[in-house]
Amino acid sequence: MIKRVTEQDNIMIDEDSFLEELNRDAKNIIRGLGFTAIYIITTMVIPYFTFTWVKELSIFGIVDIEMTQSQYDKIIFWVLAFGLVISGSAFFSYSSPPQSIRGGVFALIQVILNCFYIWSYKFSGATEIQFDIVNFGFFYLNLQQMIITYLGIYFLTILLKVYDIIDFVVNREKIREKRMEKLRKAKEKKMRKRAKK
Amino acid sequence: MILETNIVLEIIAQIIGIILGIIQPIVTPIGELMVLWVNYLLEYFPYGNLTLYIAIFIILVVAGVIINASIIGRLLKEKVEEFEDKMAGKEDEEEETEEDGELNNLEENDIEDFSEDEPKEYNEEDSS
Repeated sequence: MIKRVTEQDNIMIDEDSFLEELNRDAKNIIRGLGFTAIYIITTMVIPYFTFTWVKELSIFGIVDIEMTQSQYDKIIFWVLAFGLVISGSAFFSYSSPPQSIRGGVFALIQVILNCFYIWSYKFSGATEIQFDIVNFGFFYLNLQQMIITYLGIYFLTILLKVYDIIDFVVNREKIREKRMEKLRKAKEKKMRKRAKK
Repeated sequence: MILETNIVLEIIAQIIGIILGIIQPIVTPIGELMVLWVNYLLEYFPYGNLTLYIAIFIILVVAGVIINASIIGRLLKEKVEEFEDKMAGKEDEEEETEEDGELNNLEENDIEDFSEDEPKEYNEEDSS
């Protein structure tokens, strides 16, 4: 049995596609907002409270993390500054459609900003911690080396992101076709459901 | 303390330690290079005023919403198309008025009398 597509059906399909589009947009924006919130918490809120707590911390009089007021001000400034920019670029990157070039570019920017953010930790003085052992002496724990290793790993991440962008640019048409195919299938499924009803 | 009590966490920590130990000789020199350019560029970032960073954050979020919401994109596209149509309509009108003006400017003698060219009525006598 062939069902005739009436004008009413066309209007309903148009409304459906509009709602679908709205739904997709809302999902993307909500995803972006979610990741922004995560980045704000992890790059700004937690470090802010940690450094405030660590500022005058002395564990049993053994571990002595010395952080001057100027060091504290400096690290808090950089944490907030880079945290804001990282969160902004995270919003842009995560609210973009998956495998989109703009999403890839902002993901790369985000990784580069992360490098600045991590390296700004050295301003806190928390990378060189002095352990005082009673009646014995003291020793330094230099965490700067660990940060350097971490930055090295970040370099590999930058390479991966660059590769992603090249891949998105080269296979742009294929990615679009796949996306359209996915949308078309979803539409067909809905139409079939409506026809059954 | 936690790592000592939980055997699973201890194994994970050991695995991570081994991996880091293997990649460290390769990764650390790269990290040192990264430090060089990061240190160089950090000098250019303004220090002491968060306003710029807050502005960047707001711009990124607003731009993200505008660019990534296809509804807004579609509305903007429609607006642009409407504007283009209007402009095209105006151009057509202008062309038409120009043509009308040209016709109005023509003198009466310039207008040929095409009535003479009208086909003559068919005469049955001629055919015979």
